[in-house]
Amino acid sequence: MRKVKLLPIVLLFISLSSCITKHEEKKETLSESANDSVKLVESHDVFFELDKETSLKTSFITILEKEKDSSILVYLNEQKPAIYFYDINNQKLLNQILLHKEGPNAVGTPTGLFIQSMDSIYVISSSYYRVTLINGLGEAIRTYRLLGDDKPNVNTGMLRPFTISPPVVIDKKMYFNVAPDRDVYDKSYYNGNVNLVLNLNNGDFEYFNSYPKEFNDGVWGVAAVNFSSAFVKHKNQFVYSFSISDSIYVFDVDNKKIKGYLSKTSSLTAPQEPMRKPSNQYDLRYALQATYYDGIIYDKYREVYYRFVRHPLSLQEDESPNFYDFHRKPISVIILDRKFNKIGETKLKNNTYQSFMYFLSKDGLYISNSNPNNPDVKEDKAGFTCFKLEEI
Amino acid sequence: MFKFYNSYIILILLGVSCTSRLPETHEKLVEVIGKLNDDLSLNNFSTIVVLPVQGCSPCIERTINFIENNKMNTEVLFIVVAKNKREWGHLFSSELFKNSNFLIDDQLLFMDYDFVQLFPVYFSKKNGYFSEKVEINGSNVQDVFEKISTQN
Repeated sequence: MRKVKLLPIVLLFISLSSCITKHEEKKETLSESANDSVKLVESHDVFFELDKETSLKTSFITILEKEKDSSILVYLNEQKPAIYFYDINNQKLLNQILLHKEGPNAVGTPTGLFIQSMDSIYVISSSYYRVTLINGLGEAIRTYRLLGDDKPNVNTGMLRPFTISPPVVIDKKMYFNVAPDRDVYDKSYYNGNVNLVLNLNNGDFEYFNSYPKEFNDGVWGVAAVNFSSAFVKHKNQFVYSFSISDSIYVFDVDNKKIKGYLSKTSSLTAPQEPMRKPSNQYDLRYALQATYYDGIIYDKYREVYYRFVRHPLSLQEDESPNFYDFHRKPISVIILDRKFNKIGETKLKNNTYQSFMYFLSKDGLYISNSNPNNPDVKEDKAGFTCFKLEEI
Repeated sequence: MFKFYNSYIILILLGVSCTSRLPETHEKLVEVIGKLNDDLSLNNFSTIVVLPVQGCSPCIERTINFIENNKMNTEVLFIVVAKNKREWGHLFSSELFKNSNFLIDDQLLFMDYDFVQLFPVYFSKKNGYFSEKVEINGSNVQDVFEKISTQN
């Protein structure tokens, strides 16, 4: 008798489980849309040889355009610390500048750079709240302190001078993205300022802008605080990609106005939900199952924008994830035309790429293929795959 | 028969109550650190700082600096949670690796034991045992490191 009563319940449970699985699969599916007119296609790989003290993972890489067909890849070693310069064409090491952590030429622990010339480089140290101008020998010329006599507090923020958000200098003023020094599990985090401008003449600085209004609906986890920016020189505009915003935001430096443009991944079928229980305890699982927008890049050669997206992972209830699972999150790249209309979205091969390390050249968009899950990773070589933009 | 069982239970209860139990956090720390290095005694340390290499990046950056600047403080045990050296080797200066107060959790045991997730944490002692765990986040990081520095 008991068996007969249990049967419908078991059947109902099975049918419900299958519905949930199907829904999750649908949510994660990403395919070319009929409206797509372009896509990114893998072309070739390049490798830059690293010394034993340099990691495959760096917070900062950029391109220096030297002459007409000559560019230099700049690679920061945060802990040695040192700056490496490679010839893009043959991937050979051209030069390196050793930096100092202590003494009269100290730069702290560097996390990003702004390179005016090979003999005039601003070294930024986030955790030291410090910007140091050095020459080509690594000697400090001038130091800017961005904390004054204060301790970090709700009105301060930590500089984010990374590959995905490089500092920019306009009229002797350096612009940064910052992460507010606040509790990320408190809604008031998103009222903190997200930009800082440093006057390079007199050392004055001020904070401005804050997270877009969609952040005010809840708490979005520690991974959501990261955001990316690209500077479009001929328009004097910053373009921002915030982690949970389906829109990108354009900040006009001249008139200080911000405007949003919808730039949504085709995989999202419903609005994102904030954390139900905002705390570190639930954040890892939440972050792995969330969609986060990542780096934004302006491609001046092809007059398009690329916006990275990190998609959800399917996790079982009894699965205990760890932070390495972030590397398993699928990645896609949205392509926007110069008026911010979406013209394509390309899904990248899983477990191969890193969405926070990339550079742009005349050839195409180079994305780091040093994902720790990539079996082809070479321990002593930073590998990048060149993607070319092709019409469909 | 009843009397025999009764006295047996009373004896067990007495035995349990007479044994002074260590705080659960301390017991678990002894267990997990013993798995990583069974020569290491927690008696030698007053504070433990545990750093996951991924998660809250501002908090992690500041903790790396704190570890570097306090590496000679033998009262503090520093533990880095990372699978392999490629991930943490570049974060610290090489002389730190030789220090007896620096330990790598390459088995991610501190995650399995639910001690860390996305934020660095520190453990401090009360009555001689590690009982308090504090997450190091953007709003308390400065105070936490000042507290550790003045305590040791």
